[in-house]
Amino acid sequence: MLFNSIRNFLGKIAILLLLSLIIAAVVAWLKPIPTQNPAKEGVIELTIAEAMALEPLWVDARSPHAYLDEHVPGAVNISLDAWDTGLLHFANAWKPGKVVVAYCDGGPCVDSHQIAKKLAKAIPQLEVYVLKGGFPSWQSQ
Amino acid sequence: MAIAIKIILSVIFGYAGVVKIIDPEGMRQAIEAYRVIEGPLAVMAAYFVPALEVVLALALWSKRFHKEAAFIVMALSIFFTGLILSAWLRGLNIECGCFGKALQVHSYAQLIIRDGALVIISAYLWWRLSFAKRA
Repeated sequence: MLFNSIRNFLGKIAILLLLSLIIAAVVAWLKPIPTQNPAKEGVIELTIAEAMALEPLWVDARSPHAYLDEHVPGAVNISLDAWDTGLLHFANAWKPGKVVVAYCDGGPCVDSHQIAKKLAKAIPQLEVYVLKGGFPSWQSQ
Repeated sequence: MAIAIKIILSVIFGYAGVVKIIDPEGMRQAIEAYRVIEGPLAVMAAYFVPALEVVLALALWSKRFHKEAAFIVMALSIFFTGLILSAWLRGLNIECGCFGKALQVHSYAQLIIRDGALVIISAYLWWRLSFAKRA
């Protein structure tokens, strides 16, 4: 009795989920969106090993608060909210020919990609990459 | 009472689902802002969650499915509350994304109170539909 009730209950839940899946598939067919976040396009990502091998100037694209808490040694903080100040610090730290690797919190975070694009636009000769996995990948190496 | 709760939940979930179905890209960005999933998984969630919300809004009015719909609404509300709480604890500065770009609430406390209220009324509805008559 109880087993049948539970089976009936779960069966109906499965039907509702399946119906949602069908509607989702139809919407996806009608309104497709790219699987890659457009904000991440146009920037090359490096693994922590690849980035370390370049001995880059690190750019911390997280908030000043997160930067003060902990950051990659020698990193310059450029957050999107304080772009002008960050760029001044960057100009003092960067030497021509030095590769730059930007990082943020990792995962879906795109601040490092946006900072990398803004830097490349501001300094056309700059070779700038983004750290794949962000700050957590540096912490775990 | 159950009818009033059904109206409230179906209006909230139906509206939330429709505005997000119309803008799946915005929904994907809102999901990724929580920094839990990204890429193809976020895209799948951006399509599935709004569709589920619309289905639940309708199923609450079906005698065949209303108990199950109330249960999923409750589970979904608990999940959303937890997600918002975790974003708050991680210090993320995000929009809820609950109603797409409409009805944006900027205070985490308000969001948690709102979603907490949804958990309570959906739990009551599920209990009422599933057990109250037998008691």
